[in-house]
Amino acid sequence: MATTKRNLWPESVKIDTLTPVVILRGQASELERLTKGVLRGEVTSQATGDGFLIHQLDVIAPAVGFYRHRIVEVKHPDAFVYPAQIIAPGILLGLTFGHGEAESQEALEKFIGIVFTSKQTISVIQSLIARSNELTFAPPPPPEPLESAK
Amino acid sequence: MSLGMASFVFWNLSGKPLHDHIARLAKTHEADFVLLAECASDPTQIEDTLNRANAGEFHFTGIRGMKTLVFTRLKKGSVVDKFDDQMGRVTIREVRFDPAPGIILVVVHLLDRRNLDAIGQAIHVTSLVRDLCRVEDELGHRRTILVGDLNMNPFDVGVFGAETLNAVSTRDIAQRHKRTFQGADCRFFYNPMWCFFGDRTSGPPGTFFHRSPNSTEHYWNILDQVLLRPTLMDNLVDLKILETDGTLPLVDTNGRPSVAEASDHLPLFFRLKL
Repeated sequence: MATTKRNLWPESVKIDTLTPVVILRGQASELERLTKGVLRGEVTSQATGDGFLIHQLDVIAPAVGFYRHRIVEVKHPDAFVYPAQIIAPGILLGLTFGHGEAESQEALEKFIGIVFTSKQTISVIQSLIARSNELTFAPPPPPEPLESAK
Repeated sequence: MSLGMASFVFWNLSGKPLHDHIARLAKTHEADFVLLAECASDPTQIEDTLNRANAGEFHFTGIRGMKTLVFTRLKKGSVVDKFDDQMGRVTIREVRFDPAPGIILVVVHLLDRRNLDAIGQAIHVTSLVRDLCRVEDELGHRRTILVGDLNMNPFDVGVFGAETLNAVSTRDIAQRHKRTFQGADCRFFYNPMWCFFGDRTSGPPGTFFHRSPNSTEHYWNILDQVLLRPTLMDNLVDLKILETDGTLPLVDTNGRPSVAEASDHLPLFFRLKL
């Protein structure tokens, strides 16, 4: 009788799986790196009191009076971080508008990617970069007057 | 802006193009701020209508495509964005009334019971409260007004609960500025809207009328509210639920919001001494 052990576990079982809050923090740092600090990302977390945690990813524009815009929220039970609910009003996440449920890191990253590449988020990010540049951009000095011909 | 006063009109338009009503409201009440929710029109159209009606030189402030819109006739740069949530259901602005002290203006259109139960609404509000407290701490003052369609009544937990808006009905309690609940300081709001319930007051008994077969139906609701931090509550000199735009009625023959002619919500007008 054959005794070969077969792996029945799916490929999504990996030893380097991250929690939603770590994924969001990573994306916050990525935004700062990509925009060379023009924009910052910040993740805040709060307990809902009914056994859930909510993590919120905000974009902050330091040059625009530290204006803050919320991009996405992720909610999950205290103990079991997946499935995580992703909340992004107005954005189609899979089959539903505004929210989706991610059973794994991979699914969550896919949803976050959809939010980041949505028209809504791109408009906010581009607006904030443009307004920051407008406020911090130093126009080049006027050209030196031409020396009169000798 | 009238000397030492600032006037505000808030209205949930129910997605209708009520431009002329808005212009008349702004003109009649000499509004310095026109705050709108459920506005399906492009802000430029509203701006044009307001400016054509000689209601003042209004401009739109903030980000397009949001759920709440802020127009003002204060000079540009007087209204500074501090926070917006994903869809602009919550927007927090710093308003500068140079030389008078500025205020923090929070305009909201919170989720309704069709999308969220009472607990969900309350949780949503705790997040708003945290965002607001952060802005108050950053700016170093609490001269804050919160106005909008809360989609909750003053007696709902998302409005009066200590960890939510903590909005109480009397100045006497609000003047304590905060209460400690479970070891945490919870800042009070004063909610003057309580005085509009019922028919023994002047004006309509609410801002929104709803009828259903539920045994707990209130019929009249005050979903549209103005809340003030204690520091500002004595600056409120006028507050009304409006039944007309100054010329035309916004209510039907039964005194209920005229859904056919206007919105299913009635507008609010208030004036603050600066």
